[in-house]
Amino acid sequence: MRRAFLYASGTALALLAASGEARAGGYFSEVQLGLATGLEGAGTGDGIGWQRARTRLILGADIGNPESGPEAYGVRTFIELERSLSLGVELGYVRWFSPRLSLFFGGVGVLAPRTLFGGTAGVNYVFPLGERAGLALFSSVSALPLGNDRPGNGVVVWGLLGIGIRGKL
Amino acid sequence: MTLARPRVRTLTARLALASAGLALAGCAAHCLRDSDCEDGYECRRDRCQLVVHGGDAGLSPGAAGQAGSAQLESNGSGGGGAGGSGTLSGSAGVGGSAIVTDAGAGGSATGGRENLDASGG
Repeated sequence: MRRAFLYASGTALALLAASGEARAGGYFSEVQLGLATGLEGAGTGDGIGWQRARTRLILGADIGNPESGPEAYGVRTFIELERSLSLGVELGYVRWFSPRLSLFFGGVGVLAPRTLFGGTAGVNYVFPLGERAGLALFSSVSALPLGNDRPGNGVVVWGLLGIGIRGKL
Repeated sequence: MTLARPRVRTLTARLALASAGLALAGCAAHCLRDSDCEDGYECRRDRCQLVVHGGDAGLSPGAAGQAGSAQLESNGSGGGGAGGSGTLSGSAGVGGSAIVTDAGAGGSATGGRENLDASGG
């Protein structure tokens, strides 16, 4: 558990440092801190079982180049806060369809203490709160068919809904 | 912003209702991931099962060599597991493997023995 906290702290610091450097290098970056939960499902051998997904704290950053248009790369690191503490990360492609609405496609992995790997797609909508900040509502769907934290050889799926604060660096 | 708060409340309420509905309907799984279970347990068929290897279960040395592994399943937080392992140390000496399933919330050694399914080796 302590190790997961250390990983999370290190990852968060690296994320913020990368965002700052990206901005200094002419890229734009936005950081988002949020809380999410939802439903978690998996094959149990007797069908699909469902339970409430663990509440997770998510820190993410979107880093892009203004010349590449409404596209960016997104990194999200998350800590699952319930049952056992675990650390995960998402890496992917971000596309904005409007200044408020963006979609995220990428890979997702739970790294510690056990592992899960798969793909994810998410949508993010921002309600502006001033010029540089906003209230973000986001939702995502993930399927994780790899890793040693699955029940048997099943696929773990998440449907999540979250809320957060978003800021431009 | 004025629209955001009611929407957030609505979505949060729906999520809470869905979770409560799952629990009330008895559809919520006891576990879906191994990490849903306590240390030493694994999630199998949405139940936490204690997987005990021969040497760890307190089996006698001769029996452990033949027994391989034994599994204990318990919905409880470990009470059933403790009872089960006591049963195994006496009964699994014939070799083979043994699986004890105790669906009760606080299994005892007696309960474990009653449910013992041991195959000789």
